[in-house]
Amino acid sequence: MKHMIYTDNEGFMWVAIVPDSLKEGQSPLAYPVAGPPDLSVLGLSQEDTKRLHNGLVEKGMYNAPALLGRRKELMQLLKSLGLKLSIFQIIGVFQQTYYGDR
Amino acid sequence: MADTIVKSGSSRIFTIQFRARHDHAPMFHGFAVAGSLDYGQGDVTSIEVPDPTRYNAWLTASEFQGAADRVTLPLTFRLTYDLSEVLKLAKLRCAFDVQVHLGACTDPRDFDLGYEKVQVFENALISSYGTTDIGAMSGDDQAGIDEEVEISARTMYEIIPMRYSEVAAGYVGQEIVAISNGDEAGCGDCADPSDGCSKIFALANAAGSSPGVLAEVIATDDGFSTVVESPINTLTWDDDVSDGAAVSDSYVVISNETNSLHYATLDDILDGETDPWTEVNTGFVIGGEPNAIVSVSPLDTWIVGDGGYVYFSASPADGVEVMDAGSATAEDLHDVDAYDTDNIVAVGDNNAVVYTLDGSTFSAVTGPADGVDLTAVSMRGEKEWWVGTADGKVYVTTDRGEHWTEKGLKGSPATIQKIGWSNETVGFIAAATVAPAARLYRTINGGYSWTLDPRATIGILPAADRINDFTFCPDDPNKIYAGGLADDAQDGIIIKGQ
Repeated sequence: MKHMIYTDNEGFMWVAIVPDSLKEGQSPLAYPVAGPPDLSVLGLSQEDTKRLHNGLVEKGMYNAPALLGRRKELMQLLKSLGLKLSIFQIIGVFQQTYYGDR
Repeated sequence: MADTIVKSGSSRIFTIQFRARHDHAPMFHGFAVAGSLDYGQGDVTSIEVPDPTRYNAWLTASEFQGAADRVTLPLTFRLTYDLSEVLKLAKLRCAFDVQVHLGACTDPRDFDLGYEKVQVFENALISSYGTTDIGAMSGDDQAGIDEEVEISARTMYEIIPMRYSEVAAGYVGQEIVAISNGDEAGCGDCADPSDGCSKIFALANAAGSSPGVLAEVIATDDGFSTVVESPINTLTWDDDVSDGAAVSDSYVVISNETNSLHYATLDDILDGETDPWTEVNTGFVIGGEPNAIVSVSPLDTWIVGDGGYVYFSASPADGVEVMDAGSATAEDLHDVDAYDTDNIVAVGDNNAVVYTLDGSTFSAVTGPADGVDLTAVSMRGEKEWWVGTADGKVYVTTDRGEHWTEKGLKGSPATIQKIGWSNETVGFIAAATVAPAARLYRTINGGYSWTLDPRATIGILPAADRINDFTFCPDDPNKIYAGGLADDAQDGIIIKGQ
């Protein structure tokens, strides 16, 4: 299995887990999405949510394990996007999605 | 001073009769010099095998090294009209410590701050005593009389002033409650070569944010050049952790809130496995929720908790068994230390001190501060216990709590978080002021005197509200890793001192 990035009709980028045999140009839509998680709980505008969502995908930070050891990068991403969020809010959303309700 | 060549005139001698201890003052010998030290490291012997390609020839297949010798050091003292201190030491035939202080621009009489390097000779005995010619037959023979001794010490090592810096800053988001060394020194025969101080595990609390972030272990296998995070996914979002310790090949986390332990192998944590954690609640009792852990060997771990509970674990995977169900004391216990598998001491609320001499039967002894909560304990010997209090005091007993002596610390600490001994000479105390601001104290004479570390002339301690825990490196009293709460009252901080 490998990861493939695609963009949906609303401009959100997603990381899908696809078979190694899937070729460039073939649609990954039928395959499970690895992330990112739903960021709407953060209460940002639709536009900021999309910028953050896609920024995370571009950095390869699409799920909780992919965030490990990358707090500094996450902080820099939030700064570059001009978003006044704590990195803990992002990590919290990622962890809750990945590890499930506890 | 790092590249400055040390000159022989830059050395002065201190001796500590009966060895370094909180009540043994170092004695300065201004009219003394040290000669050439000899510290044999053990003969190296080759193991040969016949050369398969040539007759009458052999190849070296391996080699081994014998044990290190005792250290010998000649000392020369100018004889004065005072009674000879060194003759007294020789005739007493009791072990003492020698420290050779090397410095340049400071007052050599200042034991704590007057050096750039110290050579420590521990557990020394005088193997020979003599003098140069005591009389002069003619004017040409007139000379000062010297006392000449040779000491034989069990070990020798160096101490230098410490410098501190923050490490893993981009990774530590939550308060560090515990930090442990999970490394073993080795030449690479059984695992990767290591100085024994590369694999460090720091336990970070839950973030308490919304949404919550799990408590996690922040670990390194190269002294924090690279860092991995391991969220403890057997906890829930707002579960705080209480303490952690490396136990054999695992890291064990205890949580008062979950009343259980959580463990993962050190390798899984370092390899970044995403789901390495297992929770075990076997043996934990409601009302005896765990607060502190100490491990002496893979088979000997003690955990203390609320209600005076003491647990023992021979294997974290199998849980714990109750050693004392609050019969020695019913107070909440907050710290525990072990000198060996028999001698363990724990302290807690309302001046509670409990101890065991056999690893299983715990008794109470009256603590040093009536009505005060005790927050830290460290065993420097079977009978010598150091205790820190919630109101910033430090006490020591050398008779298992029958008598206590308060040791003063500069800077008026408001709380004591941690006391620990790197070896019999070097120890550290982590404290915090009312502000709050973290303070670190170091002793290089077994606790007789404590100074704020680092020296003001060398640098500052990275700003932090408090240091909760620290860990040492085997055979290197000049290295420490500490963890706590950063000076914003929110983030965590890991500090490396060396």
